[in-house]
Amino acid sequence: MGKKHQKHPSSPPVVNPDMIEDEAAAEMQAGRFRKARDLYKTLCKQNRDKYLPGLIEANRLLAVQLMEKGQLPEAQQVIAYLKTIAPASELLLLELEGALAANDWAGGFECALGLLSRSGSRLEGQPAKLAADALVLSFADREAIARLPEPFQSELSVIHEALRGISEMRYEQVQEMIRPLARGSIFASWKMLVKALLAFYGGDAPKAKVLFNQLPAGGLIERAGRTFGLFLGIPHPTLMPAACQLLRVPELAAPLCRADEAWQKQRFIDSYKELRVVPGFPSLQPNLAGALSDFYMKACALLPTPFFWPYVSYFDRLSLQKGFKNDDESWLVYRMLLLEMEKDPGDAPLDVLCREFIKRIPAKDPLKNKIASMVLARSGAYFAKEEAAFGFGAYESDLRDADKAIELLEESIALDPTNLSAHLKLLDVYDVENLKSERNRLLDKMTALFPRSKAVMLRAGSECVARKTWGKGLDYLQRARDLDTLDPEPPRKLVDALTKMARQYYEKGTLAKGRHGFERAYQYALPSETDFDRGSVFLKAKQAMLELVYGDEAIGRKLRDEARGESGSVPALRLFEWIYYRSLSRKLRQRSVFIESLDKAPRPVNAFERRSLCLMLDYAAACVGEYALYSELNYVSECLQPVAGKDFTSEEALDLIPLLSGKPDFSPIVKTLINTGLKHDPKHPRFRFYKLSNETRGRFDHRQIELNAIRDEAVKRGDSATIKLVASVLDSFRHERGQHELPDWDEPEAPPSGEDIARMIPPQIIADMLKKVSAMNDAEFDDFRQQTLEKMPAEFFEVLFGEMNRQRKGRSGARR
Amino acid sequence: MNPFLILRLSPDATDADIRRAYLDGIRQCPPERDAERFQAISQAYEQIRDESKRLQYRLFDMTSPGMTLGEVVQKYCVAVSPPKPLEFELMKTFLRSCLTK
Repeated sequence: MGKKHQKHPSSPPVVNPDMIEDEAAAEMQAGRFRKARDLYKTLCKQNRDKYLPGLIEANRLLAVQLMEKGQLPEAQQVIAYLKTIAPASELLLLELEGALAANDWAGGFECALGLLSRSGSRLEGQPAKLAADALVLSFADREAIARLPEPFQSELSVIHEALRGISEMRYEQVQEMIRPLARGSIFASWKMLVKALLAFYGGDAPKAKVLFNQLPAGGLIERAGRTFGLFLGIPHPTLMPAACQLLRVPELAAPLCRADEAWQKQRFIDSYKELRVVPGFPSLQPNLAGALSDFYMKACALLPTPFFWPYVSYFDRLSLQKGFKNDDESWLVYRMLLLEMEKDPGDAPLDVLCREFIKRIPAKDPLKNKIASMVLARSGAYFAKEEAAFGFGAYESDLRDADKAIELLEESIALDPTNLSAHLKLLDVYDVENLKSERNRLLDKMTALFPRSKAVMLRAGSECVARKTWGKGLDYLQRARDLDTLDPEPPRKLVDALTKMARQYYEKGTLAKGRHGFERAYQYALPSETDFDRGSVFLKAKQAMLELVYGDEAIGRKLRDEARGESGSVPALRLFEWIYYRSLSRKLRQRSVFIESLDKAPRPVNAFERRSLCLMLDYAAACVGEYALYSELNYVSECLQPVAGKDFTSEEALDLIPLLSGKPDFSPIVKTLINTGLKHDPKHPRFRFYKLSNETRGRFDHRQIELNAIRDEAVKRGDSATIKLVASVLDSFRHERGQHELPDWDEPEAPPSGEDIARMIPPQIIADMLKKVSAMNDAEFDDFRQQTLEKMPAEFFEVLFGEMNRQRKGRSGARR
Repeated sequence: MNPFLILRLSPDATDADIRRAYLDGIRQCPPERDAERFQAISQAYEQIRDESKRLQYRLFDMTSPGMTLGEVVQKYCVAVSPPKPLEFELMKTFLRSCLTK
């Protein structure tokens, strides 16, 4: 007897098919096609006719999904199953997608051919687009194309021929070729791409931009268009691989994607390593590999602070191990190290690094010596920088390493005697180190070597004038002037030299030569009331004083009266005369009876004269020293009495305050000016700024909120001068703090987060701490926690030990 | 971006080559037509117009060509735009590669 089939003791629960169908629909909606397929399978067992379309659709979508994920064997399995349940017509489209995903161009062509043969001109939408793409991408031969029905056969040939024409730069021919292609053709979007390519390669960027933007969205045509768009400045982050194809560097495509991904995840060194395996990278050539190499070697400034040293250290290790991939890499790395270390050398031996870099210059480079000289000069300039040094209870200025600077700069000059900046820098070092004979020898050499250099001529001229070698000095200064007639510096120095020379002649009694010197100086004079060196009035006043003291009294009086007649501010001129008179030889000066003292000088009558007087006082302080002024200060104080008596306008007050600030003799006047200004307008931003400056003696410490309020008021009133003043103070604060971004002072600066701090600590130290903590018992941990929280931000503690703390609590809870 | 790239020159270009490339560049891209490109060409010329400046650029320039790799590629593409058309075989490869998302 056969074994009797035994019925299962408990029959499966009866489930409502509608509920399963709803569930399947929901799964489809959510993109979980595998689950939906299984549900439809169950449903088909109950009613195949009703649920078969759902099963087919779920399988189709699953196959597409698998293809998109690149799981082609799995997709093939699903398609094989579909072949057993779906009618052939529905399978073709899926097979076409499968063929394209598998890069089976011939297979794709066959599927597209099948689709077109069945549907013909009725094919539209996504199937039509896919068929067109498959046909074009097959780049099939004539015989294969001949199997297509018309008009597809001729249209496809046109597209292929057009693409070939673009490659061969037959643009006009291509233009004519594609004209007849109908708008309703399945190849219409390919026609649009061809038109856009014609505009792009034809150099009509605006038209190309428009055409690329009009390409149908989704699919390969759009992706191709967007890749070309990169060249027109339309950014698209995901098209780097396709761009590499267009740039003829397909070997860079995949590593570049990986490198970009690593860079975005802040794995900066890994990112470099991804590209380092590509042949031809790094490179110094002006190509894509060169641009990418440039990026990595100049990226230090872009890195977040905790990543800076690890990044530089990687390249430093490469240099120490001499593990360079090629010569270009060694050049780029040494260059980067040299320039980065220069910013913050620490213990790095900059001069050694500089010499290592020089070794990397190719021997056959015709500019080898020039390059080496420039590098040495740069390092020399680094050591020649002045920095504050502590000595005898005060800060003094000193060079970083004068001996090293001289050594490097001399070596630089020996390698390239035409290196002007190295010469100038060495001259500065000799100056600071007071090596006079070396400086003079170098300067003589420089005047012969660089006769066309304005800087050298000015330096040599000034040096000669200081040594009273008038002829040579004036010659150099004149040459500097001839080299650049627009620069005001050479004529200023010429006037200065000529007046000093003339004064010497006057003092010696050779009046004719003295007068001739002034005649030459007048050639460079300016009709200025505020240029006390070059202003013609002041030159005349100087000559007048010299004539009155050493020369012809009549000429002196005449010149003095002329100057006073021409001057727009006689009180200031009188002060100038007095100061110049004071600077003349005391012995001779006492013999003079022609100079009137300041007591009898006129007082200013208007704001312009008062302002000129204040400017002249500053000039006097610069000439003879602030502490040598006495009668001059009295004179100016008397002249400003009307201002102290509140006889002034706001404009004049705003003009005078900066000129008088910082001079103790005038502080009552400054206070009067500020208080009167604020009385008229209590919110006036500039007067408020000056008041604050006066109160804090220009330090502004802890007054940022007031400064912000002043700035806001100035912005409200459109007072750009005050905005600039406040901004300069804020800038100086920022500079002092060494910050890139100025925090808003109204709100306290956010402290770094626990995670930020944790990132800054080397992982090894954190690992050790965690190891110690994990060995503690609960009591020890509580002690440790209490002690640590006194020194460590709670947030940081949470980042490091939070998880451990929770685990402990969990364990103790379980024990209880 | 590398000024030699922008002016489409080899790194061993002479003063005369550079000036010619600069003049050609601004003739093709006057400021009223493409202000950005005009500015890029002018800046590139200033960076390498004579031997001393070229050496300065080669040795000491630390201006990054972009903030990210994507930006470098983008700027590079703009600098060499329009590139020469691809040969037909490469064109096929390029179009086929666009199929991949």
